[in-house]
Amino acid sequence: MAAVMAVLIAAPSLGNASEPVPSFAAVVHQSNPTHDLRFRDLLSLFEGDNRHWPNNSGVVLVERDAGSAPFQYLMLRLLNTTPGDYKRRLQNIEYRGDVPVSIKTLNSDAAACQFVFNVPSAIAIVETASLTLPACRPVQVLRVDGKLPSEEGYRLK
Amino acid sequence: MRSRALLNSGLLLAILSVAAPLFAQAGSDDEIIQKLLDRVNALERQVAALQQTQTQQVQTQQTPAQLAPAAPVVAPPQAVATEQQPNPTVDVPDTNAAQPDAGSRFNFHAYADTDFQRDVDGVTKKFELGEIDLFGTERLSPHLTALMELVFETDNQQLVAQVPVNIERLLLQYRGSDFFNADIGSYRTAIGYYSTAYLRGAWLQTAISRPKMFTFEDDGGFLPLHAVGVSVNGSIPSGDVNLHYVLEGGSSRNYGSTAGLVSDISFNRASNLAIYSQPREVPGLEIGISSYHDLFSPVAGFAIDRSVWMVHFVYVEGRVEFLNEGLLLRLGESPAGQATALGFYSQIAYRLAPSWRPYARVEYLNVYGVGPVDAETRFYVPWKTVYTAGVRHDLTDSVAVKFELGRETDYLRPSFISAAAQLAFTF
Repeated sequence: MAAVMAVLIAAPSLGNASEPVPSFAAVVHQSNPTHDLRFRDLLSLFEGDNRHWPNNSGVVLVERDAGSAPFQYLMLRLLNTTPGDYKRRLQNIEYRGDVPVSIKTLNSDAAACQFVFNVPSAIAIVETASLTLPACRPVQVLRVDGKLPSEEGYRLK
Repeated sequence: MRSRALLNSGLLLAILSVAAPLFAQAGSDDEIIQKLLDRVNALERQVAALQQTQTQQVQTQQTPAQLAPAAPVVAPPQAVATEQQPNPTVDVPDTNAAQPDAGSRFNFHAYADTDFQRDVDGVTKKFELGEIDLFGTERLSPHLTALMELVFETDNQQLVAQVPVNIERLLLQYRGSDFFNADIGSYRTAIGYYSTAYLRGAWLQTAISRPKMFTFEDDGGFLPLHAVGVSVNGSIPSGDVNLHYVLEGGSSRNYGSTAGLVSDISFNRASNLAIYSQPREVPGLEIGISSYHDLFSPVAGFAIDRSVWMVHFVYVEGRVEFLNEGLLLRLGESPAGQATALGFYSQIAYRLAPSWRPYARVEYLNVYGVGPVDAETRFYVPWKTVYTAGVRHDLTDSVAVKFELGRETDYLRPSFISAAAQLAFTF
């Protein structure tokens, strides 16, 4: 059984990797003292495993609508899951008696940025191209593993 | 027994002393955030109301011919929310496209299933309505939450007018901080992993059937999965090891209330300590151990020591679901003898395509001992090995269909093959 597990975990993703994938950015409120996140910690936030910032404030996840590029990136590339499994995972957290994961689903990157601007503990994943939008200028772009979207080796691509 | 209880109490005091200075930090920030979220939601509602008013004014000024091309733009809020159409022109959070906020005060989920079963118990073939699980939480204050879970067990009733209603959980939860939380009321015991992750709700679990060792008490299960009392839990400062504890004390719901009945399966003086780790460097991995002890009373006026030790090694991440649990159950030492049960199950599931997840499970249990306790335990826990394989197909984000085959070997009857199909959904 363990050998089967090792093979399955090592198996490559069956997703379509040949499609060009745009770059994405994790944005938070300007006052958020977190400026740099480890890639692993970013996943932990969106998987619902970690529901608090280091200053103990509750995390509010801002997600895009199901058809959007940021949502597809979050599901297929970042979390390697499906919307159904993701829903099951989040409901399971609540079902176990833990504090529910706070999620806000919005229909544009500008709306996501504006929500982050209004809610200090929110975090959103938006397309890097959207960072030039007026609504996204007042928010803080997080470094991931020490790198900004424009830098070589940035992982949210 | 007493020494184990003292040990558990000592561990609780140690945990409390470590966590106490950290309690005060929590709450104020969450309260501010919740107020901000409430404020944002209120503003969004105002914007939606204004938009709706504006739309109605425009509609009254337009002719029917002019309205036709505008219809997709002013679709009913429910329709837009379901289709989740992106609208790049919207620069403010559009409530029409926003899903219900999971952090709102009242959360409700329901789970139901319908099944076809062939020889699941070795004899019957039938369609059946499964169970309806109603789960709700209400945040009473930044620190207090009420949790209730009701189950209509439609699969066991003899008369359709007599559907049993089980209060699976009824809890007042105190959420102090990451390090100290308390649940008071009717809780599910933190014995092992499966029962805490998938107590009820067929949609939540991958397989149709539960591991046999986690059979519900009222269906003949031998593990105490429910209790009434106090459960405290939280994190243990441990860095990337990310340790958690659960400490419980309680009794069965019917303890002391069925005096005089011949059949009086109950327990008292139940204590349980569970420690588990969710290493930060290996997301999805959970390794834990639990130690449960009580005075078990299978018949009125007779009580024996019962101890349940469980270990689990679970990996649920991405495409993989790999569940492993080991069990050691001891009943006795009493003049009527003693019995020991040693068992495990191992379940693996792997998502092959976006919505297909085949799975397989192996279960084994060996019971041995002396005296009447041993004989009764074999009668009470008749199965020895169970092999299960199946597939889950998610039709939508909320509906799954599952097919399953199983082969069970028992002490008291010939082995048999079972089959089942299930349509499980949440709403």
